[in-house]
Amino acid sequence: MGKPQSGEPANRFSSEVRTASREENASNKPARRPTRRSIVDLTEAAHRAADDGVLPAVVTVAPNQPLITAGKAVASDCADDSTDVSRSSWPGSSRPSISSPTAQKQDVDARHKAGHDELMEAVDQANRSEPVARLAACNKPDASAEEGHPELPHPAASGSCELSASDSSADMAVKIAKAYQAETLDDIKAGFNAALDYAAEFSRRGASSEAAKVPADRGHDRRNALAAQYRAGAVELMQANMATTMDFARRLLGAKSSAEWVELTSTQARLQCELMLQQAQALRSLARGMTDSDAGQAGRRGRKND
Amino acid sequence: MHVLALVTQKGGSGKSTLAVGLAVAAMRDGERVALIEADQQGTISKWQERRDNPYPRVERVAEPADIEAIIARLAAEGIWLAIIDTAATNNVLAMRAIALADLCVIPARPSPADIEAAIPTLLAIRRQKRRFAFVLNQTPPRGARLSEAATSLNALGVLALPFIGQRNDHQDALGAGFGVSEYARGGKAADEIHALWSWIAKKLGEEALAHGQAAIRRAS
Repeated sequence: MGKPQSGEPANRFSSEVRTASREENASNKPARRPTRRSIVDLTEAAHRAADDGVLPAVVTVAPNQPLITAGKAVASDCADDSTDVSRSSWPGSSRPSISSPTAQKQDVDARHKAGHDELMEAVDQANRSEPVARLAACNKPDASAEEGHPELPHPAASGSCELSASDSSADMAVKIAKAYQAETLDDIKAGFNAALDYAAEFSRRGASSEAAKVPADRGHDRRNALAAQYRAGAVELMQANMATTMDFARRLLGAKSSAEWVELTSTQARLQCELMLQQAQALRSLARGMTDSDAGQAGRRGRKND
Repeated sequence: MHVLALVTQKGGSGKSTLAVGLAVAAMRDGERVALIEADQQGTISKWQERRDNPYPRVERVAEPADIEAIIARLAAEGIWLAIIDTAATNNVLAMRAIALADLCVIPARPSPADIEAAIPTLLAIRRQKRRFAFVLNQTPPRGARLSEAATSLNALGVLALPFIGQRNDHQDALGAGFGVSEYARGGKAADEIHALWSWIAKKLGEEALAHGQAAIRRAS
């Protein structure tokens, strides 16, 4: 019922349709599908927008309404501060990564003082856009050359963070952890070299000032005392640096999972950063002390001349 | 009490499913957990209706001003963790949830659309100086898309580990009124969710510790 009595007309019709359809397809259908574009390339504009903080389509919380979280006051005025946008996913942290309970951070309170820790912010600013550049370099080894950046791609970027399509989720997690590790080891090296340079420089200055046998007036005494104080501080910091590095190396050898690697490397990064900050503070206080001493000496000379 | 907010303006990224999975995983770890549904879609409320176990508690919130009162009440009742599931839009309620969160979790699938859609949320989080982490959700076991998405998100901020794979157990558990760690114990989906919960719990614990240390420093 409803079926053609003879198959001939129907078959002829369908074969004609098939032929016509084939010709149509041959003329209209592209030879092959367009090439897929990488997600990294496609989201490049989004990355730029995130770095610039330019997307306006966000709603801010009314500034006059106090916020309470579990009985703790929240700084509601931070919602107004649209220009001061922290790029870190862990505000108050020197690195957009993971903190550790063993790390003694300077100030990591995200709710009360987040983003107002000047030292941490300064370090964060110094590292700004570095992760993006490093990870972009994984996919585009010549990206920095194209953009005219003089620095070479980071060793971590050129090596361990290359995620490939054949990797499983676990492989990728391990690679990401290794990239953190490589970055941190570089940071350690840089921090250690800087500490050694500081110490060497101040030892040299101390020795030269003693050799010059400058008349022992009060200003010089004070400067020498400050330099000696700094040298003692620098040695302490170096010892702490060595101790944390050795401890890190020991723990790293014992790490069994990617999560452990991430934890260890980020902890080490934070400890190194804190040591560098302490060193910067010591330098600052030394400079202040020198300035005060010079100013006092100039004042005394002025009074004597009068 | 800790407040965890799942936020992104992209629909279908798995916010509600993750919220439920994480809440049950935390509960199975012995924590006192509550879910706050700030999404008019009502996925979590409907899930709770299908559920025999009255825990975790589910609180619905529609007005931005109410969310603080609910959190304060939950804290007073001894709840250790409140997980806020927000709507797929950057509305005032979602912004309030971000402002109140100790940690914002941004789920994203390995697709350009999801990553692009995460940017406005990311900017809002940064403006409010909240801590955040991306979760790569509904991932295939391997492939170029996964590696590219991981690279892209890792460049934007912290990427939580492990990635959550595309598995039917998540949807089946939601449909049956279970968390995936109740529905398919020992399954890969349950293992991933539990590992993700452990990652988040560690971050929350560290945040609390840091907060305590800062408070002690201020007091001294």
